[in-house]
Amino acid sequence: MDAQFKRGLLDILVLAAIKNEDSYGYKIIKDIKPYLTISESTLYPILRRLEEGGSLTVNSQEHNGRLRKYYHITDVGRKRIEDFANEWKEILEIYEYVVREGDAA
Amino acid sequence: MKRNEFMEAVRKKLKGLSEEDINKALEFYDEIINDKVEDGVPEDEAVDALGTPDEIAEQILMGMSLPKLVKAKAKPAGGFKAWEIVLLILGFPLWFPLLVAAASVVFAFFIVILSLVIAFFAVVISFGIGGLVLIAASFMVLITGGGASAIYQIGVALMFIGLAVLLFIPAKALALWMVNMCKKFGRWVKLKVINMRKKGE
Repeated sequence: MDAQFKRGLLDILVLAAIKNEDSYGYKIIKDIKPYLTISESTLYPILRRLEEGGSLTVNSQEHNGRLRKYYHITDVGRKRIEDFANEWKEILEIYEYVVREGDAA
Repeated sequence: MKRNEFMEAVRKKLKGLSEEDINKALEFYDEIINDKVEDGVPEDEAVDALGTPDEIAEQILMGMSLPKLVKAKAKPAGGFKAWEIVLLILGFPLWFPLLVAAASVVFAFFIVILSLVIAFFAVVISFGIGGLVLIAASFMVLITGGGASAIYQIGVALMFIGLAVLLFIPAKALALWMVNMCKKFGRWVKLKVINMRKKGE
C-alpha cells in the first residue's frame, strides 16, 4: 500500500477507535491491529497530529495508581470520519462499475 | 533493554526539542510499557517490542513541524561556543545572502508550479464562462433574426462548455498532485534535517 495513502487511513482508523468511547494508546493499537499494522512509534505522531488539528482532545485519568491518557473525539474528528465515509461511498460505486465492465469485456 | 536505559537513550536523541515535547513523548511510551506489563508482558520484552531508540526518536522528530525541527537542530547540545558566535557574526555578510538565495530558489520553484496550476484552472474557467456568454449572445442573435449564425454560435458555446467540463478533471488531478508533491517534499526536508542531527552528534 502507498505510504501516503496508509497514513491517511491510519488517521481515520484511530479516530474510529475512539469514536464510541474514549480510549488509550495501548488499546487503540490493539483495536486497529486486525485492520492495518501499526506500531507504537507510528501511533504517537498520529495522535499528536490529530490533537493539533483539533480532531481529538487528551485528558489524563487515574488507572491503577498511575495516570493514563485518554483520547476523546471532537466534532471536527467526527466530521473527518463522515467525510471519509462519503468519499469512499463514491469510490466504491466506481469500483463496482469498473469490476462489472471489466467482467463484461 | 531496561526501561530507564531506553527512556534516557530516546531523551538523548531528542535533545534540542522543548522539555514539554520530550516529556510528552516519553510519557506516551512509558504508559504503553505500563499497559503491556499489566497485560502480562515482561518489562524488558515490552521495551524491546517498541523498537530501537533511534527508530522511536526518528518517528517523534518526523511528527514535529519543520520550524521546531530546525530550531532543535540549530541549538547545539552545549550551547554556542564563543568562537562559534564570533564566526556567525563575522560570517553574516556571507551566509545571510546565501540563505536568502537558497530560500528564494525553493520559493520560486513552488510559485512556478502554483502558477501552472492556476493557469490551468484559468483556462478551464474561461472556457466555461465563454461558453455561457456565447449561449446568451446567441439568443440575442436569434431574436434579431440571424438563424444560421445563432446555431453556429450555440455549437461553439457547447463546445466551450464541453471542454471546460473535460479539462476540469485533469486540472483537479494536477492540483491534487501538487499538494501531494508538497507533502512529500516536506517529509524529505524533515528527513534531511533529522539526519543532519545524527551526524552532528
